[in-house]
Parts: sequence; C-alpha cells; structure tokens
Amino acid sequence: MASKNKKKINWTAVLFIAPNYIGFIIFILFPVLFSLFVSFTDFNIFKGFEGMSFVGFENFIRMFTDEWFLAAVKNNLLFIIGTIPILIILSMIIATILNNKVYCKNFMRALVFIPYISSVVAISVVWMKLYNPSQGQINQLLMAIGIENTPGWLGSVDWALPALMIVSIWMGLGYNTVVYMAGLQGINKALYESAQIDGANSVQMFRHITVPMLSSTTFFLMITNIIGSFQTFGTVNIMTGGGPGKATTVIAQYIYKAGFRYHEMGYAASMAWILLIGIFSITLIQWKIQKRFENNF
Amino acid sequence: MKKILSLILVIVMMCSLLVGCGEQSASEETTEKTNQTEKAENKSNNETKTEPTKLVVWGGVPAESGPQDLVDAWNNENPDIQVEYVRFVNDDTGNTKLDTAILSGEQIDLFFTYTVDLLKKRVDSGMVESLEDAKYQDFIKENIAGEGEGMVLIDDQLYSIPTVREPFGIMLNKNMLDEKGITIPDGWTVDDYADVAKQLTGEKDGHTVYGANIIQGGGYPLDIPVTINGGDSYYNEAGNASNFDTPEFDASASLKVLMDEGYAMPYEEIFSRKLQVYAHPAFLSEEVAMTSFSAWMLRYVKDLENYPHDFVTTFAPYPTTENGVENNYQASLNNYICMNSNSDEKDAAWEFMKYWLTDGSKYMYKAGKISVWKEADPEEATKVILGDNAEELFDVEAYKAVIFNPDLEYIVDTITAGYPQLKEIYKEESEMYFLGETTKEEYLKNSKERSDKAIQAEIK
Repeated sequence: MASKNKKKINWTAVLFIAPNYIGFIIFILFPVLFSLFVSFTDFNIFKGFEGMSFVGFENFIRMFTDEWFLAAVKNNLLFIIGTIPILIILSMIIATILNNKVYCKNFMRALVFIPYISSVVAISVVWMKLYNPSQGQINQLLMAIGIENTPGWLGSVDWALPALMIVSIWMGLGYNTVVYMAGLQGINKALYESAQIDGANSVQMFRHITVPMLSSTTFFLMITNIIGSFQTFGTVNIMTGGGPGKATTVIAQYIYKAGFRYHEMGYAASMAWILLIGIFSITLIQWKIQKRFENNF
Repeated sequence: MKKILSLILVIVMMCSLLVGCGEQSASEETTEKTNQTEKAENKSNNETKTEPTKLVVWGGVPAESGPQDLVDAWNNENPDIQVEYVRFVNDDTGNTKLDTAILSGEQIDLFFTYTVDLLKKRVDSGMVESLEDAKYQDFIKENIAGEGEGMVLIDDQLYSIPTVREPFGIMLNKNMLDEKGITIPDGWTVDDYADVAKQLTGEKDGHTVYGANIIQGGGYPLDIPVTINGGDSYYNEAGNASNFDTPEFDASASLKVLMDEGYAMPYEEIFSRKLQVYAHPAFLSEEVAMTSFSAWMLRYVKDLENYPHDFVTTFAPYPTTENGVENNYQASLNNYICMNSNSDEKDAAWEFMKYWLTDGSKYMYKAGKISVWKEADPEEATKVILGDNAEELFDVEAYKAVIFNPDLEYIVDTITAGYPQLKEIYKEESEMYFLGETTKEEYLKNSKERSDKAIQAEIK
C-alpha cells in the first residue's frame, strides 16, 4: 500500500493544497526572495526598475554606522528587557488567580483579554489621551497623590519608551494569561492535593508546583513575546512616530520610515533581513537552551 | 466514490478561482477597449454621448472647507469630466499615504504638495509631470499673477503651479493683549517678542496660559531666517553648504529661553499632543496667547463649533532679529498642484487644473486660500476668509495690515540639493534641542555638519 502511494501522485491532495501554495508563492515566497535581492541595491520604488542600481554590501555596512539604526536596535533590546519579564510574571499570577474561584470569573477573563483583540489604533489614541502631560488622567492622578514632578510621558526623551512599554504590557497580558490558564489545566491536581496534605500553603504551592510545571509554557511565551517585541510597530508609529529624538525609534518602525518616507527600499530591505537574522538566531539559541532543560525533566 | 466527489469539488473550487481572475482581466480589457473607442469617438465626433471621464484629485484641505464646492461646480458645468476629491491629512502619515497610493497605481490624476522638500522628493521619484510644455507656460503667462515669476523650479524645470498666495505671521489673543495693555511695536524684534511673551504668561480658568508657542508648523522653531533672507535661507550663497551657523538661526534657537523659563509652551506638551503639526487647538483654547499662523489656519478660528472661543484674534508680522533688519519675506506661493506623471487623463486633468487656478479658485477662499489668479479680487477673498462675523472674531484692520503689507515679498526657493534630507535633519535636531537633550551650540553645529554632508552627497 505504502509503496504504491509513493509512486502515484495523489492529484486530489495536490489540488487541495495548490490554492494555498499558489498564494504562498505569490504573496510570501517571491516577495521574500525579491527583498533579499533588493537589499543589495539602491532602489527608489517610485522610479521603478530604472531607478535600481546594484550596490553590493553598501546597505549593510551603512547600517552599522547609522546612528538611527543603532538607536533602534538599542531601543528594541531595552523594550524586551523592560516588558517581557514583567509580562511573564504578571500574567502567570493573574492566570493563577483567575484559574481559582474568583468573583465573576468569566467576566474577569474577558476583561483581561479585551486589550489583546482591540484595534491598535484605538488603543493608541486612548493611551495618548491618558498620557497627556498636563491634562491626562495619569498625571492628574499622580498630582492628586502629591507627586509634583510628573513625567512628561510621550513627550519626554526619558519617559517615552517606558510609556510605550506599559502599553505593550497591558496589551500582551490577555494573550499570555490565556495561554497560562491552558497550561494550568494541564497540571495534575494530585500534586496540589499531596502538597496540601504535607501542609504547604498557597504561596509555597505556587512557587514549587505551579512555576516549575509551567516552565514549558513560560518558554513558549518567552519566544513568542521576544519575536513579537521585535516587531513592535503600531503603537510606536501612532503614538510617537519614533520620537522624541531617537527615544522610541524601533527597528520595524525605522524600516517603514526608510522605505516609505525616505523612499529607500534597498536600505529598508537590508534592515529587514538583519532583523530576520537576529530573530532567527535568538530563536535558535532558545531552542538549544530548551533542549538542555527538557533533559532535566 | 468519495474520491471522485472530492476531486470534482476541488476542480470546481479551482475553476471558480480561475474564473474569478479571468473575469477581472476580461473586464479590464473591455474597459480599456471602451476607453480607446471613447477616445477615438471623441476625436471623430465630439457630440457623441460617451461615458464621462473620471478624475481623482487628492488635496489636504477638508472637502467641506471649499474643495467640494469647487468640484461640484465643475461637475455641473462639465458632465463629460467628472471629478472626485479625496482629502489626505497634510502630515507625515498623510503624505506617505498619498505616495503609496500613487505607487500602487491607484487613480490619482492631480494631487497637492505643500512644501518644497516634499515636491523635490516627489519630482525625484518621477511622480510629477513636467509642465515645461508651451501650453502650460502660455497659460501661466496669461493667468497667473507674477507670470511665472517666483515659482519653484526643480532642476530648472517647472513641475507644479502654486495655487495660492500664502502670507504668514503671528496671531495673537487680542483680549489678553488689551487686558495687559500691550501694543505690538512696529518692526518688533525677538527681544520685544520675548517681552510680550513674558507679559502674556499667566493663568486663566485654572490652567496655565503660555505667552507664546515658539514652534511652528512641522516641528521647527519660528522661521526667522526665512523672513530675513527669503528663499534658500537654509543654504549659503554658493548653495554648497547649509546656513545654520548664521545669526538668524541663532536668533530662532535662542527663543528656547522662553520655554525654559515657562513663558512658552514646553516642547513635551507640544509633541505629545502633536501640536507641532497643527498648533491652532492650543491657541483657540487659550492655552497659548500667540502662535504663528498662515491664512489657512483662520478656517479653524471661524469654526466655533469645534473650537468654541470668545476672544478676538489679532495679527502681527514675525519679529526680526534686531532693530532695522528688514524681514519682508513673509509670504510664499504655495499649495502646489501637481499632475501625476502616470495619469491616463492628462488632458482632462489639465482642463480641471486650469479651472482650479482661475474660476474655481473663489470656492477656496473659505479655506483661507488666496488665489494666484490675476483676476482674483483680494477684497472679496478677505471677506470670505474672515467669514460673516469677521468683526467678532478678528481684528480686521490688523489682518489687512499683515496680509496686504505693501513691502511683503515672496519666498522663492531655487536651490533644492539635498533639501528633503536637510529639512529632516533640522527637524530631528530641533526636537532634541527643544527637549533639552542638546545645547544650542551642539544643536546648530550638528544641524550644520549633518546637512552639509547631505548637500555634498547630492551635488558631488
């Protein structure tokens, strides 16, 4: 049976997957390969192919002397350091709480998840209002509790990035919490029961059962969050446009700016490839680490 | 049996997919054909009824502020050429939207560009049709005030015709001036300006009133250099280096003291509310007592529904650097109408462009647009620009004095080497400076060094 199928192509199956593959080739594979080609050229997309000239590795060399690109990389790294640990810890705690008996459980779950499915534009506009340095609710609250030197938030070089981080954490919480709740369902109840019999309190149970049993979920969320964080674009582009100064320029936003504002598609494509290589290598390292700690279990 | 059924299903699906594609291309073909036949028919017999030509125009003025009236009037008179007006917001995002729409091949026959650096960028990208042909030149000679004098050329070629004369200056809250008994001296200097700003700073209804907003459209400091030096104020005489080391730019930068001392609205506030693009909301809610203005901004002063206020707006020219230094360059020819070089309907587009520049221009008064047409009546324009209850909202005399100042000269840019980059650099550096990240010396030095590099790269 098996050998027979090997020789004969199953046309039904081919036809079934063809539409998807045609779409993939036209809309993903070709553009990806084309962008690799473009990254070695000086390409003003508005001039078409006549405006294209081959420049070798010039774009890639320029990147490492471009202070804007370097600032973008730094901001991306800061973004990861500033958001992901908080996001993971907070969502794990919230998931544990929501998993137990709480008042209005389903309503609370929905509440936590809403930011994740809301439009980035709407979220950004609302947060911009909240962040307004003189009339925003956040600073008025801070002033009401006696803080005089309220941060300038989006208009301040020091506070703009943290402000965006807060929004990003708030947005990502819902998804992470839901994934953690699924992870919690998979933990054997017997572990908790036996711990209870041994006299462990809830904090001890959380520390010694929940956290270690969720480690594979945590790992999954770490990877997806880091990848997602590198792609931060919407909130930055709407709320600060990468400013003030270089304060909130991130890679994805700078790629967009180079491509569509400065019309330098070649440079933008080469940065996109560096971003891809960066994300890919981080993921590879993470896989290696995962293999190691999988063996420990 | 199951297999055959699924095979049939798949084939049907594939076919529907192909049919979908096929139909589209087929219909495209037919439209192309009809277009061709249309044109042929038009040539052979003008009286034959055919489908009207459709034109699409993109502009930055909200449709209800004039363009819709203009387009409606045209559409009534010209059933064979029907125009659709699409508004884009004239900021970074809006201009990118326009660029990408043109790139993607969307039908845009005419579009507006509002700054020379963007015009240069668009010309460099081949988006704009050249207007060097005799028919364009003849029209300009015949109809446009100045007969082509003072129009921006990119690489010695004309690509667009400015539609409006746009004087600019400072607008002030007259009630606040009267309260403090301040009069603006003739030929005032930046020191006078600073004094006035200090006096006007105070409190109203529990919120701070800043004496001044020293940032003007686009996120730049008050453009004092251009008012003194006119066009090409960013460049040195030879046009091979930037001008940021001159006293004029120093004067603009020095106004930051007002921000530091709390007399001008802080940049943090401006940035987080995006007031660097449109500053009128802060002025009309009496958070700042004076801000720079251009005639188009007056449409918001008239808009009491969205910006309710009960004070009179008065006007003054820009301050100069020192007593006796003339700064008459306080107007530009602007709102450049451009023809998309890929438009299929260039002839029709030109017809409509002519209309916008001549008979149609009166509909744009409402938006604060003073026409460049030779036959346009400035008195009538003023009447419409200031609106029905002009006396209640504006200091009409002051307005006329600023707008019809006989010494007024037009800013004409002739050098455009590296202009888009230069403006971008100046904006970035200004942002850092006004946020207190760099000192004045660093700011002007960085601006100069980076711009010089950009200019050199372009002219080498």
